[in-house]
Amino acid sequence: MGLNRGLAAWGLVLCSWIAGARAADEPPSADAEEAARTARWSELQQAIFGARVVHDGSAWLGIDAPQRALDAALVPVSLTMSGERPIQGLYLIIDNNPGPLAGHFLFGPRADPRSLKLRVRVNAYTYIHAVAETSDGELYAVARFVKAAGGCSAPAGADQQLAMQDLGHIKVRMTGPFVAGRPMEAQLMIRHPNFNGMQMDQMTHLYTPALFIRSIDVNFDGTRVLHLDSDISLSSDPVISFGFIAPGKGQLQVLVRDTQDDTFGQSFDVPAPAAPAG
Amino acid sequence: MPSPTLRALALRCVFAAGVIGGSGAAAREPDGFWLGDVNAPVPSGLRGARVIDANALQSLLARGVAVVVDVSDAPRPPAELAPGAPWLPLPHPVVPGALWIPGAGAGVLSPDMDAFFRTRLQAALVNADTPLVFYCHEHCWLSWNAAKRALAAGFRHVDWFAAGIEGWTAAGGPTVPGLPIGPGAPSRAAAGASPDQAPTGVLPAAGGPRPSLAILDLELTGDLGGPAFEAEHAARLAKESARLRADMARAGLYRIVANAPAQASIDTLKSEQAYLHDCNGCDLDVGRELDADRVMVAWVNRVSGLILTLTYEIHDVKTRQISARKSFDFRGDSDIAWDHAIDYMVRDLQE
Repeated sequence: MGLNRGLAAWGLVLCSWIAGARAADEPPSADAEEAARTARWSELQQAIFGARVVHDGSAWLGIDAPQRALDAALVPVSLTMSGERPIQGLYLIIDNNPGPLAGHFLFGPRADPRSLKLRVRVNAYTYIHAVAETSDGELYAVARFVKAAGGCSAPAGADQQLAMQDLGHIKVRMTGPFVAGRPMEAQLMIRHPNFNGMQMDQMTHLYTPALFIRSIDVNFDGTRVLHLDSDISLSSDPVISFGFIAPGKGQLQVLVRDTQDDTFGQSFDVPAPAAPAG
Repeated sequence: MPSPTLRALALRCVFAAGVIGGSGAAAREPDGFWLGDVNAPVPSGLRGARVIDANALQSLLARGVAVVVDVSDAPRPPAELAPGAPWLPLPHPVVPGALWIPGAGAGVLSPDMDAFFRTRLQAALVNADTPLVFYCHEHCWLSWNAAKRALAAGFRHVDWFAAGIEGWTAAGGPTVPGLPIGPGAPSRAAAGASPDQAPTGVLPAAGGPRPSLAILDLELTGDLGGPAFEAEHAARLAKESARLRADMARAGLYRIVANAPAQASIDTLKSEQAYLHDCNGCDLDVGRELDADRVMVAWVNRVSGLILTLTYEIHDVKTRQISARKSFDFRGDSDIAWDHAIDYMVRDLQE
């Protein structure tokens, strides 16, 4: 009884507060929030693509990510492209991150650009846009709303030394049987802290300058599979899954360059030797 | 009559406000500060602190007694970005009146940050029992660490708002753009602040004693709306005067002196003068009687029920000069609009 009355009173207080707030200050309604998101996307299109038209790509592009991600520093994003239009590149844009362009992929002749998976940092509830660029230079976008927040924060007590251990160590896991000329999937794992500048060194109490992977090149026997220009929105220890087509036995060559201009390279036999590689 | 959407929003907020933390199993409370990933399941409580929800936070704000501290990290722009990648941080929304101290929730603090954290909070408190509320995001350990640190530093009344800014907005709570303060704050341009935003709090030059300030009651000028509004306005002036004092005390720029010792003089002046903010410096006599360095007078000019202007002046008791003056337009002759105007003015003063 007392509890009920208490609850009712709370409801009243809160509702009158909201009613008052709306009258005086218009806190964002769902519509206003959506309008703000649309405006943000327009601003980003302008900043990234200039005057180029971005078409709706939902007919042939797919984007998947958890609606609600508990670990905002490790949000898995999965992109599918039906393959009916040849594409040369793909932009991944996390609208509400301070550096919204998380990555720009360029696909080469050895790519099978029908699926791409990676993990990103999400700083606030946001749309994530994938924008595919077709071979004839048209842009097509698809979006997904993700409720995750604070993912750009550094660990509360980042152990710099531990984070830097095995820096640049690269692994590749290939799935599916190897058949020359048929698409295969590879999972690329790179050991790199991808410091975004928010980490504080426990010894010096200074912020560690951003140190992140600037580009990743994957070639098959010297011919491009993909090139990625990336930035701080890529999670630490990035994992990227992609498709590629090997015309025969050969080597998948990975070259990673970070913002200190350190490069890390490694080659992997295709097909992978019977014993697990790396 | 509220619109259907409004009613739906209000209803939703009543339900949403009861939820703390959201999904995910609660973590065990560690003995020391949390050093792991910031975004991870948090404990359901903090020994020595009260866990509050959006309702309770709103109630504290309405009473104007709490010091609210946001310890979310602030984005720091890297030296370089991918080719063609823009750096476009959005404004960081904070609970109105909150101090945003990025870095204060880390597991280990630099001596600088530790000192800033203690002195800034101490300066913001009205008294030892003023509630200190810490928050960051949902599933975010930074506020847990900061609240624990405040307890360790001896602050008596520490609240942890675990639902964070996401929980606050989901409950329909208003936000304002925040500006980071303290040693963990990136430069203003870096944080994406526009030049007209005031930081959410800056102490006067370190070292020197804070000047003392007497704050006279707010006054109302212009179209008072007739006798029907008399009682409402009297109540609002009293309430908002208290808010102004609390906000100013929290801002920490001045040592706020109590007016009580000069109450007799103030009452006499009020009976003689139409307005104490405009009485040939009679307010300075009050300041002198209270032994204050400065006197603040503030008034609201009501053009109509919709259009109002809040103005303050700070008078130097010794030199009899106006040391600061600024006006702020606002809309709506309601408690909440006045609240926002007062809060905004104090934040602007802190710049």
